[in-house]
Amino acid sequence: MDVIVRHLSKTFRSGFEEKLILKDVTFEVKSGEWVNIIGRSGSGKTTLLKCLAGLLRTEEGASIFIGGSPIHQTPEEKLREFRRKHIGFIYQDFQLFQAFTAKQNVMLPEWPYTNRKKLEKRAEELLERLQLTDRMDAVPAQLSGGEQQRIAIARALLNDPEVLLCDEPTGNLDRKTRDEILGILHNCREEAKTILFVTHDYEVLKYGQRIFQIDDGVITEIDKPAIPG
Amino acid sequence: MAVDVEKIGTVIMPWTTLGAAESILSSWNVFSMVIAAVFVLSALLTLLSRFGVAEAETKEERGRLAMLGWSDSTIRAIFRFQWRIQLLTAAIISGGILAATAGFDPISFAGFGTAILITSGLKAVTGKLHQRPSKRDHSFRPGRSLLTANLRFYKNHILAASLQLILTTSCTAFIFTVNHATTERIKKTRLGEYIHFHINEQQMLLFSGIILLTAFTLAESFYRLWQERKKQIQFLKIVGWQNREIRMLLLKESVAWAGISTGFGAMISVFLAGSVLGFNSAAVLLQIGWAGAIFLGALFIFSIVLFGTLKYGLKGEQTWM
Repeated sequence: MDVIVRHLSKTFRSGFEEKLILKDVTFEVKSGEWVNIIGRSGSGKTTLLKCLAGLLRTEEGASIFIGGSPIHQTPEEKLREFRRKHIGFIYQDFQLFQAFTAKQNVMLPEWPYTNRKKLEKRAEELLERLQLTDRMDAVPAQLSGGEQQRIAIARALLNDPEVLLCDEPTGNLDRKTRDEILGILHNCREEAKTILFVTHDYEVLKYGQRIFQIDDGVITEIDKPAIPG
Repeated sequence: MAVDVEKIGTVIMPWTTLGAAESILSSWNVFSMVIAAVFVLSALLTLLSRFGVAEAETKEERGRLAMLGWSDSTIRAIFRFQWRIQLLTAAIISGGILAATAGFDPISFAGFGTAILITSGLKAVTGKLHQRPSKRDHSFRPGRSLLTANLRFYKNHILAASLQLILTTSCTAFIFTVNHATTERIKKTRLGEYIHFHINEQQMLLFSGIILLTAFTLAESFYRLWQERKKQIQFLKIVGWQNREIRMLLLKESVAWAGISTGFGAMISVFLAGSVLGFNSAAVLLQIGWAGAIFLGALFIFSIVLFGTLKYGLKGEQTWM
């Protein structure tokens, strides 16, 4: 799915203070592209992902299209359905439910909407693909950081989404586990999934095709830096 | 015993009618003591729940202070000092109210002192329990459905409220039934009616106190439970759950908690009342009806707290969750 953003601005208000986080952001990402988004803390990277997912309302004049769907105009209920079917989310802190097993966590997005047996089968397939077959019935507290992130990826892939929004998913992982996770996501890109990957880690940049830098809310595309290895 | 008998004046000797009155009063006194005991137990469970919530609320702060390099003993001393100030303030205010209403009655003040000692003891016990490292995470076995998994995982959050709900349902249903039977029997005479009028007032006060304390504990426990799961609720919205599915998941949990607790309480009450009054279908129906009313009350409190959390507690769009 293509992601098209035009004239996106976002201001946060706190009391009498106003802070412009995103300033007239405009870009396009083609279907199947992996785009890395870098920038200092507080520069607006996460805010951009939230706007793309329709979790934050955009200001007047902005337009966001994902696969032709106008995210900026879609009502909340429809947006949730759209996210469930077309967008996968992966976070730095995994966001797994401690009360549930690995398999239940993977099944969670579709739990009220899909037949249980079908859902279990799909979750088992994904966990097998991510080499977690023997960890299906473990709860997150019994898993390593890398295993937890793989479960989070399996959950994000449950509906075979066309777009993956990744908010520093390797930020909490050691080098070896990070490479493992990046390898899994790289395979996802080969399945023509569009990936927007927020990162602080310059090692990640070798995986993407393009790099956007956000500085004080302004987005610019930069060239890939030379990364050894 | 001095009883003001209608159109006769105050009579002190327990003869004839007054002898009967004494017998009625003594049975009522036992009854009042039972209600008072339930009230005290209920108050202790409320305190237990409150202290548990307070410990959970300060956990993050304690963690941050430890990260800054504070020793455990220093952190404990700081929170102990805060607690002493709170206790002293509460003692001064409630002691003042007691003195103004009951005068300087030594028995009342002995009770007051005991209450402060029990409260301090309870706080110390809760503190010790919460400082123990949790082993739950590694030994936890989740349920097969989301409902049972959540019920098992969050049982400690709702334990005090559940116990209180069991206590309140069993005791109030029992008291309600016995009260009803005794009142029907006593009100057949004018003297009985007179005594009932005077004593029932005090009992009703304690009765209302029990219900209010339970309502408070329930509201606080549910509030704490939803606060703890605020991030999860927001995450479910992010991955595309609609509000009705989220509400349904939480509603099922609340129905299960309230249903198990009030059901268990109703069974205890039926057994207790059956032992005292003998088993009869009218009394059983009365108790089940009362337990049902408490169940609905618990669900009402849950709905208000959940509505407040979903409506106002999930604001703050500046964070991912």
